[in-house]
Amino acid sequence: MEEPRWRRYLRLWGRDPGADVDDELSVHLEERERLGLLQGLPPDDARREAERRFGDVNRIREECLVEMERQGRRAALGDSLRDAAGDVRLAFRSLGRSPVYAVTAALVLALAIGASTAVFSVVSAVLLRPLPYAQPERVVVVHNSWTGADRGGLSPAEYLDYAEQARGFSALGVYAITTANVVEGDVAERVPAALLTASTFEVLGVAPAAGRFHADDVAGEAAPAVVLSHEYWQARFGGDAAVVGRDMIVNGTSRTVIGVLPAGVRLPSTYGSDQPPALFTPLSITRASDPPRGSHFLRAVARLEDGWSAAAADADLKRVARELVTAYGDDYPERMQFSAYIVPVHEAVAGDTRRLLLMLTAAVGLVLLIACANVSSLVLTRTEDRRRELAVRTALGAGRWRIARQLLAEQLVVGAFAVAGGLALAVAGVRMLALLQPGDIPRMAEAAIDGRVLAFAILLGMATSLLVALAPLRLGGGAAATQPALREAGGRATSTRAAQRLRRGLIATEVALGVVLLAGAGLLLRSLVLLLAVDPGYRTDHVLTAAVALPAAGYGDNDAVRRFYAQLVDDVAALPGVQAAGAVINLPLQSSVGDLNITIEGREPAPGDMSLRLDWQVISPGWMEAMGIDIVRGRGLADADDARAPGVVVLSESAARRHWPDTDPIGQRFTLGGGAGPGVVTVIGIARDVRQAGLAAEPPAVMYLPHAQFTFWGGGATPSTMTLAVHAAGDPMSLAPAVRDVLRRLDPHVPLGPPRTMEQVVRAATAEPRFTASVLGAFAAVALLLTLVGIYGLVAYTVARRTREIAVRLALGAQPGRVVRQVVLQGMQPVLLGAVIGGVAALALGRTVQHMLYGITPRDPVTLAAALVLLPATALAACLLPARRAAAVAPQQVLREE
Amino acid sequence: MPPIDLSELQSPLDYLILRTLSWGAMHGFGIARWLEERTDAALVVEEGTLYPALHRLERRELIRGEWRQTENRRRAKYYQLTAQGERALRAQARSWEQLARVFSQVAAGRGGADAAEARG
Repeated sequence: MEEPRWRRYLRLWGRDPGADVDDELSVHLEERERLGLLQGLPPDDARREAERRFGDVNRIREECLVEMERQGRRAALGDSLRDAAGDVRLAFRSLGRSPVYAVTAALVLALAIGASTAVFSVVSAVLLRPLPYAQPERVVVVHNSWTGADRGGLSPAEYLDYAEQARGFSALGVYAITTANVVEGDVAERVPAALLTASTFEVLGVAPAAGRFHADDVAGEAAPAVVLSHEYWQARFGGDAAVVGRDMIVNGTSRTVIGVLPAGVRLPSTYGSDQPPALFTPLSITRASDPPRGSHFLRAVARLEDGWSAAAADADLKRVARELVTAYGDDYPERMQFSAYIVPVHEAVAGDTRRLLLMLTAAVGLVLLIACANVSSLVLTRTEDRRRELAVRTALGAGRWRIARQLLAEQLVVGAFAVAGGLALAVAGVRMLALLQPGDIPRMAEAAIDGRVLAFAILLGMATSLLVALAPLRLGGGAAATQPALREAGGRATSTRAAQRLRRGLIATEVALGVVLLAGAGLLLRSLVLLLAVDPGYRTDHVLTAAVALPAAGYGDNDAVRRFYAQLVDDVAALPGVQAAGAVINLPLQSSVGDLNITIEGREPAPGDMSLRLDWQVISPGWMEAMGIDIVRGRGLADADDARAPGVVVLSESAARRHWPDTDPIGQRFTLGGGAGPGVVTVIGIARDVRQAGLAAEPPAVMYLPHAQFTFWGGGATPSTMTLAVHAAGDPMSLAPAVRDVLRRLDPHVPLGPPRTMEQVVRAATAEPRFTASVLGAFAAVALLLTLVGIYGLVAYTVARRTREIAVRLALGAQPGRVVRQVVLQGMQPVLLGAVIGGVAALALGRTVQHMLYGITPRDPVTLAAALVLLPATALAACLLPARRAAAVAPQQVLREE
Repeated sequence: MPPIDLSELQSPLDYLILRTLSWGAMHGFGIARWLEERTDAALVVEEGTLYPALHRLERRELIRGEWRQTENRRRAKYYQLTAQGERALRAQARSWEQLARVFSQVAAGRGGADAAEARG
């Protein structure tokens, strides 16, 4: 009895041991029966004899089933593996016959997978990987907030209050970022540093890489100690554990190295910095030292108490803040709206970059979809070309599932190569991203191809393979398609309507996605160009900058500091090749200015009013000349404006506009708040506005105070850390050694900070917009290329399919121009449709990039128009090429070939 | 003559199956017919017991089963020796032949005195 076809199909769903055993045993019985019949027995006897000789069929069957049960699971797996191996082998052979397709598909997918993996590895390092603290989910960052300050710091008095009264914290630590002069052995350098309380180490909960974190108390007083960062330890001391116990002079004080932080551990706010602290010195805050309450310069981290949720700790902290406001009304006036809150440390570190990374992810996702559409189209074409082969196989009994499995296997093999290639590309991609990196994407340096990223790449490869295989599976291999396929003459398969529609749909999709990417990239690029074209108000070429910090030792006296800087500026200005030189306390684009309240003569505020405020800068004479900042009215600062002369100040244009909108401020007097020196100042000049916080931010309303006169509030000290600015006639960097010499001659113990040209400062300040524009631009370029290749391929394929028809038309006298036009029109249809859809989508999605734009809105017509025109225009060229070639073919030749 | 360790030997049926298959791939009925012809039907085996033995040997990977179509377009399972099976067969063959000789010696009554000893 022939095995019925339905049984065969059923078997494809899996082995059925019972049926197998039945088959085997029944064959035996039938053979014995036949033998009996041949020997002349009557049918019934033959049957009975067979059964007698066999034995108890049911018992045998049971025993066999038990055996097969034991064997079953292993065998099923073995079978599946063998089937899969067979599929893969067939896939390799089949792909080997069409190498162009295989290589193209693998390359396109590798490109997309590589880009996606690179972006994901950054996302993984920045957003997903937990911070290297003990139980990082229990660590939080503490901020104060008040009007005008979202993320305010803590004052020393508040630190003590919170540490004592906030119940939600098991530990609270505060720190401040600064710089330090280090002299170790015979090397003097200036490094970023931090002051921190011992409790900070408790909060972080990390174990030292060497030594320990807590110094012993010697005679009741902590011995001067310093802890090194891991990077500094490696760079300066080669990771030598013997560094523990060594002495070094930090800002003039001798300290002993007691420990080293483990690798990768930083204070939370320093993760976004490319110059994180190298040294950590103890910060001691006690009630006895009468800590100030109004200076909010400390950053705070805390560890949640066991059993407390972040929300509960936050609520309790707010309670403490409220109590402080009540207890110290003078320090927390009503209008200040003082409060406090906590943020989980992971969000504090990475939160700002979340939007940027999401945008990158979305952009690379678009590229991925375009690549999939592209390859899908390729697969579709290939499947069509193989319809004959597939039809034959179906007729020979291969089920739809079998063929589908085969196609899927081919796609997975291509996918596997694509993943391998993609991973290689991703490694290079991550490195490139790191090179471009805006220094303020935290932890980006940690991006690498680790286990999670690898798993992502593999999953992505499988998903894209499946996605790409979907379309042809629905069309190819169908039983209904086999008959016409087998009957086709000439061996060249014609394409079904459905396939053509699908291909056009894929092109339209690619174009739509491409337009969105182009629009996004265009907006960011235009925004970048506008940003870089901003006139900052000072010159950025030919200026050398370097920071100088005087130690407390030898410079405890204001006069000494003033004399030093005056001499330094004079000596540097006298160097050959120097046009002008000066010093400033907060170099524009490098550090920000703070504000100070002022009391204008004749405009004393009523009690309860907010006082007038201005941002403040401290400069030496010559700084404005060195930076090329024009004086618009009056005069700039001069050497004569020193400590013995009356207090003077130069205002920026916005400062003048803010407080003297209708009158001329020159000659007006006001008093600096907080007791800052020189107290009462007279306005002597107005300077052009300059950009301080960034090229995009509005110029601040700032007052320039002379270094020779200014002293800080609450202490009256002259600023001892200033940044030099030197206007060079030639290459600014070439002046660095000479400046260093001048400094060394004045005081060999005062090192020069790392010199940077103003151009480098600007570059660092615009790093992020340059990063996003470059990356998105690269994605858009890839997308454009892929789409164009896809369009070209489609038109070329269509033309090839219809060569005969075109030849006939030409032979019958049709104008070649008309033929070309018709082919081009047909090819452009999906492009135009896609462009329209893409344009609408770009308009709708514009809002997502709004915050990254400068100078233009997301609906900028110029950019959108360019994106909408660029793709179709280039697509036109892609269509013309094959169309022209088709029309140029000699009709007779084609017809003869038939 | 080295001593024969009975516990090392497989069941006689397993050995016979392996031996038979060493002449070529066969399905269960084929094996039964072969044995029938070679031994002139001297061996009476409940034919059905071949099948649990075949499946056992297959599980131990001494033989491998493959479904093929018979001449009557029926689906039947053909078995053949695996490399492991061949090795097992060679290892066992000597022992079995020796055992056969021992049996025939015993049956030939050489141990008449031994038999009396065993009884006594």
